This record gives sequence, C-alpha cells and structure tokens, in this order.
Amino acid sequence: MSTNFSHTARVIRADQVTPLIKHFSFERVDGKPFSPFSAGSHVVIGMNNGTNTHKNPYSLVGSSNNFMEYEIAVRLDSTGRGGSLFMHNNIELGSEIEIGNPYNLFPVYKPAKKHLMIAGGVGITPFMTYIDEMNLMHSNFELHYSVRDFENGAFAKELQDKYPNQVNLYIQANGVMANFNEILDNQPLGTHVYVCGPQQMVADALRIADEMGWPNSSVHSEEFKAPEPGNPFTVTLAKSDCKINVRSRESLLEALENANIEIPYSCRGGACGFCKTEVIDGEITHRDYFLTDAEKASGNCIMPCISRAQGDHLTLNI
Amino acid sequence: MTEEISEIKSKPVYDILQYDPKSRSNLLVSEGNGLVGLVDFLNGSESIPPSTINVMCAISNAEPLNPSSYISPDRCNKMRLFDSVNALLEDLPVTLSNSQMGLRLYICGSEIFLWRVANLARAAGMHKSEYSMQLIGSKARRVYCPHCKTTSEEVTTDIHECVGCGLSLVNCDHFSREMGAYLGFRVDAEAHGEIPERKELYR
Repeated sequence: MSTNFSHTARVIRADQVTPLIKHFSFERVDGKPFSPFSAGSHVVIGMNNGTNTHKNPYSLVGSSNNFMEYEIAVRLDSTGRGGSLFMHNNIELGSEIEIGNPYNLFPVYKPAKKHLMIAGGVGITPFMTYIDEMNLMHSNFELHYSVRDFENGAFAKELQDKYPNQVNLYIQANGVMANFNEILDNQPLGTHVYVCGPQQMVADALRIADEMGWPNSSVHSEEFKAPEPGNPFTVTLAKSDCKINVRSRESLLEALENANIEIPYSCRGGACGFCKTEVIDGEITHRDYFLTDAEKASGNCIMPCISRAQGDHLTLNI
Repeated sequence: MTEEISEIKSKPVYDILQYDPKSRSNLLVSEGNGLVGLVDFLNGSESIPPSTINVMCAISNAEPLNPSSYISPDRCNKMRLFDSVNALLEDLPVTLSNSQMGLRLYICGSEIFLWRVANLARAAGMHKSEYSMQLIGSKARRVYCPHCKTTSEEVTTDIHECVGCGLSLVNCDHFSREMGAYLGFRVDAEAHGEIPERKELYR
C-alpha cells in the first residue's frame, strides 16, 4: 500500500441518490476522527478488487465540521476503467476501503464579496462543502446547477429545499439551459465565480467570463480528468535500473505503483502537480493541466497520473 | 537631482494608465494634476466607448484645473467633480459597491492618493489586475513607524519626526501596499541622539 494512504475506513451509509450517483459515508476503522478539511477538498479512495487497487479522487461532500465522517458521491462511469463501477457494485455498508488525506485544489476565496457557483452534473460535489461553509459564514452566494433531468440531479431537491433563493436549477430534459452570459452579467464587483462540471461546460464558462471582463484571479475551476487508455509502452527507470511495461488500460503512475515504486500523488487527475517526474528520454503525450506550455515543450517532465509515452518507451530519472 | 532606482523590490514602479479592452465599464479617478493623465489616457484610447466611461475628479489643489475644459461631456457617460480628495474618497466606496464585474479602475494623482484609492478598490473586492495607476503630482510619502505603529502623512524628507512617538525616523523604500506606506525606523537606533541632517527628497 502506498504511503500516500493513511487510513482504513468503513462504509457506514451507502445510498443510491440518483440512478448514476451513489453517496457514501465512511468512518475510520480505528474509531479516530479524520483530518479536518476545507471546503472544496478531495480525497483519494483506494479500493482493492482482489487483484489490484483502484485509486480515484473524489470531492468530499459532507460537513467540514464533522470530523468523524467523510462523505463522497460517486458517479457511475460504465465506460471508465472500473473504479466507479466497483464502488457502485461492490462497496456497500460495512465494506472497507483506504482513504488518503484531504487536499484542496479548489478552495473558496473567502474575502470575495459574493460567491457564484456554476455546477454541471456530478460537478456539484465540491459545492456541497462550499455551500455548507458559506451558509455558516453568512456569505452572499448563488448556485447555478445544470442537470440532465431531475432524477439525475444529485442533491438537487435537498439544495433547493434548503436554499430556495440561492439555488437555480437547470433541467436540460425540460429544455432549460444555463446561460452563462446572463449568469455572469451584472454580478457585483468583488464576486468570484467557481466552475465545476464537464470539460466543455467549464471551458465555455471560463471563456465567457474572460470575454465579460472577469479577471483570472476571480475565476476558479476544477476538473479532474481520468487517465485515458493508450498504447502500451515500456518505461526505463534510470536510477533504479529496471524496466516496467505500462499496459494499455493502466496509467504510468499505476504501472509504477504496481511495481512498488512510490510516487507522491494527490489528485490523480493531472491537476495538483504532486507526481511530476523527470523524463530523460522518449516523447511524451501531455494531458495534464499542471505543467506550463514551456515545460511541456521541453519534454523533460511528465505527470504520470495522466500522461503517457507518445512512442513505445520513456526513460524516467527515478 | 536624478531619482536613484531603488534596489528594493517592494518600491512601486509606475507606468502610464493602460486600457484593458476586456473591460465592460471604466472608472477614471484623479486628484489635482492627475487629471492630465486621464486626458492623455482618453486621447490615446479613442476606441473606448464613451458610454462605458465614468470620471471622478477631485479639484482641490492650489492651482485647480477645470476638468470640464479638458474632458468634453460627450467623451464620457458621467463626470463628477469633488471639491476635496476626502470627498472623493468618501464617495468612492459607494460608487464601487454599486458597480459590476468587468469594471476597470484607472487612478492618476499623487502617490498617497493612488494607494488610498487602490486600498478602497481592494476593500471593494478588486484585484490589482482590475486597476491601473499613474503617478502625477506629489511623491510625498506616508511613513509607518514600527516603534509606535503610527503612520505619518505627507512626509517629504528622508528623516522626519514620527507624529506618534516623536522619534526621528529614516524612511526606506520598503513599501507596504496594504498600508500604502513606506517603512520608517529610528535613525539613531544605534547611537541615540545622533540625528543626521534631513534632506527633502519626495515632493
């Protein structure tokens, strides 16, 4: 088990909140409290299916004031690599998983005069802790939440009931779409906008905010990618003097972990930068959000959680 | 005397006002001769739609300029004149709190004025990328005394007596944007009573 994991935790609640989203609550098996976390934090969940360990990042969705429980919401991706499928089919009340320490790549900017949240689908998850915190701080906030249909809107009813004046729901099945131009127009000076959802939605919201004169410093987004399958390749570890084969459906980071090579990580989605690794030889297909364009062009570092070799080999300086 | 370029990184370096074409609305603020900077800015950026421009000028200096004779009414949405800097600074937070995202603020005037306005902008939630400042006029400094935590206003000499504790402070180029003040410290800290002659450096 990676040193990145700290606690074994047990499922104490598991609810299918929509046909595709399952909501889990965990407590530590040793009965101790979890680490405190700030709104917007994620954790990596490690689940062992008997042959290997899936590690997926999930936003914490429970109250940041309850240290005895962590809560996450998992969207089923049946075409994905199997982590969410395993969480849906195999993790139930009493199951044990490994859980890492929380890390926040998407914090609330507390001095903002107003917080404007734009969520799409399962992108609602980080905002569950946001809203909890903003409500406690008596902050001015507004949520714009787009869902495919009401049945698939995780937490939609609960949010609408609790915050009828702040929550705006857009149900695409009813033909109601969020209009980012309207949402971003006429917002008071000092507003910060936070966007989480599908890639295209995030890109659209960021582009429109920029066109409407929002400075980058007032615009925040979170989007983790999942590793995509690619061609298999061989990785040579220069310092450890060994060769590892990376299979088509596993990431470079996973291949290294399966060979008991420890790499620090946090988001496993190309955003946090923890797993940055030096490359000595081989062409890279970069897929992360972390490295600068210059770093990507230099070809001497890679984010192994998400990026792969372009050809059939890579040499890493580890 | 030519001004020495400071090696201290925190000392602000000023440029001319820079138009941000992504702005939705533009608020131009000046005091005294700072008006000249606003006029140059408007002359150099004729593409800015007049309907997006609002101007606020304090005209309290000994040699008052009449903004109306420099900025024609059809060049802006609204021009408001204030008979003192304080009157302008009292109004500004209200104006900002009624403003929307997409606003850019352009500030021109003395150094003390620039930072007083910038701090009101920051208090209104603006980021430094949302305002631009140009120094025209007095370089007199606000100087913070770390001994008694008092800030002296309008200091024009390298050494001055702190208005709070009376110690003779030498002010250095270390600048706090948060306070809009330079750091002073006791000039005779090592040898009490030895106060060098003061020189007027910041006018």
